[in-house]
Amino acid sequence: MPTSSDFALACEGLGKSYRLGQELSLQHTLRTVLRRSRTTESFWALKDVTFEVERGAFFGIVGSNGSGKSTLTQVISGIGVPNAGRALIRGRVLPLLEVGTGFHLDLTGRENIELLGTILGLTHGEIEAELPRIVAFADVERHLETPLKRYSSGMQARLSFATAVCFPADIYIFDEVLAVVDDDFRDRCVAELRTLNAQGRTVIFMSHDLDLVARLCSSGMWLEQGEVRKTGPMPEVAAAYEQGRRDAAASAVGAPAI
Amino acid sequence: MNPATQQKPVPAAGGASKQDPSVRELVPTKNRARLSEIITSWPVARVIGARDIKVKYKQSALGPLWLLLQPIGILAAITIAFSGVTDVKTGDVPYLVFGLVGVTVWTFISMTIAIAPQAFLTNAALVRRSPAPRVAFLTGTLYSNLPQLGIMVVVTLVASVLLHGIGTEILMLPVFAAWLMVFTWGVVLVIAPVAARFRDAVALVPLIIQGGIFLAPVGFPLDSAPTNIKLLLSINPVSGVIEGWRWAILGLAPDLTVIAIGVAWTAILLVAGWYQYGRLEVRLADFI
Repeated sequence: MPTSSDFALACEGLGKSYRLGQELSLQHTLRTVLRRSRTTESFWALKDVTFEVERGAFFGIVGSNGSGKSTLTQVISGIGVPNAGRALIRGRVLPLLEVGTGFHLDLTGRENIELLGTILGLTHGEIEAELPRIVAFADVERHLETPLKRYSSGMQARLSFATAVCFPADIYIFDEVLAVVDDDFRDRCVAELRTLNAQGRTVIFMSHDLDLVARLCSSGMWLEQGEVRKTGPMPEVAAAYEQGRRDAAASAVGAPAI
Repeated sequence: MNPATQQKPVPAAGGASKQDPSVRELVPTKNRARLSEIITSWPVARVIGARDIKVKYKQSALGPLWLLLQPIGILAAITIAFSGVTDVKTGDVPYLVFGLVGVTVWTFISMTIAIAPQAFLTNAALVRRSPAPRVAFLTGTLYSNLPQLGIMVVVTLVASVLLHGIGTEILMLPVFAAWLMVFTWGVVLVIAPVAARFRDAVALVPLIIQGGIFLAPVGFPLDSAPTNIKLLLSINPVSGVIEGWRWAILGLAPDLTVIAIGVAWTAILLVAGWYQYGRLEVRLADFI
């Protein structure tokens, strides 16, 4: 049970496992038929993850590659199903897990905004209402009727991000999406995220860019190998994460060369 | 605009959160598919289908004209094969009209199940990275073939009026049109999730489509087949749908057993397909 009644997200013993082993193939089928197949192993990408995000928090999740950040975003966005534990989520979630998700290169900017908005559960009216703001934010006024394949990758990223932040939701989840835009646009994104947060929306932000997370977030969590290493105020989490990285680097240097 | 959450009263205790309708609980489950999603995901199915239609004819010189050219090509082929080579008898119904009804139904079914194995695969980014309701990708395959069906129905009705005449049976057409939708949706429901797990289905479906045009009464009447062959054709669920459409448009009395077999097939496809879809849906993001 969540400790605070005013949570946006509460995870309790959350676990997610994948089956290890090869993909299906004729060889695999024959082995299975001939009963010479090994039993498949499971790999726990998330293990007993328990944490809580308060409503209106700017929550950062840090961790190295493969720490389970993306698996966690998939589970709390309702894309994958957990294999253990549970998560409670309050309100509409808007995940942006990858820049350009759902965009189609043959469709125009406008058609793509409409497509993505509908997929995220907005009505036609809601999308139309936010359209001018999205276009202005992404700075694509002149290209709205142009197919996306003529956009530069920066423009595509801007449109993707603008679409996500301009649509109304209670919880925004961003997974490593500011890595591909230039500094100028990143500053505008950061400002927009702060505005959203100031309006009381919850923002969950994950990145392995510690500086950015530390600058943005008030509280957070350090995830490593699918397990929670630390939760709490962001400076403490950042310090622990940095210390952990230094320790890992030190042990790697100290290890005998091959 | 103000987020609605700010105005909401804060629940008094943690225990109250379970009753709060805005709170969703995510727990381990083997099946989370809800029948209501079929309806609530319709707007998403529409944009997915509309996207596929738009994309299909972009950078194509003839564009939507293909909606007409494709079925006409099939019609020409079956006219030569069944009316020309094997001299199939269609009674007092001109072969052109007879064939058009079969081609109309068959084109919709075959075009839809042709894209069904790819329904999740072509939308892999959305399946893996967005909370879009997955059933929308299935309904979307039907939606993207509706324009073609519409055009073909108009062509068929005009040809029937001019060459054969239309009776009061036409009032049953909406019923058989609805059956065509539900049946095709059931087939997609079975194929698409299986194809996401076992890519074998991607190879199997073109085979079914190629053979299907001969194993369903698309270009010939069921009665023209010898008894044992007719029995085989009657088991094909498509036969019932085509018989129904010919009844409505051409006034040809159908074999009611064949219709009953088709209805039974449809029910089996829907129940088994929905169960199977639900079981695979929870792991879909892992397969793709």
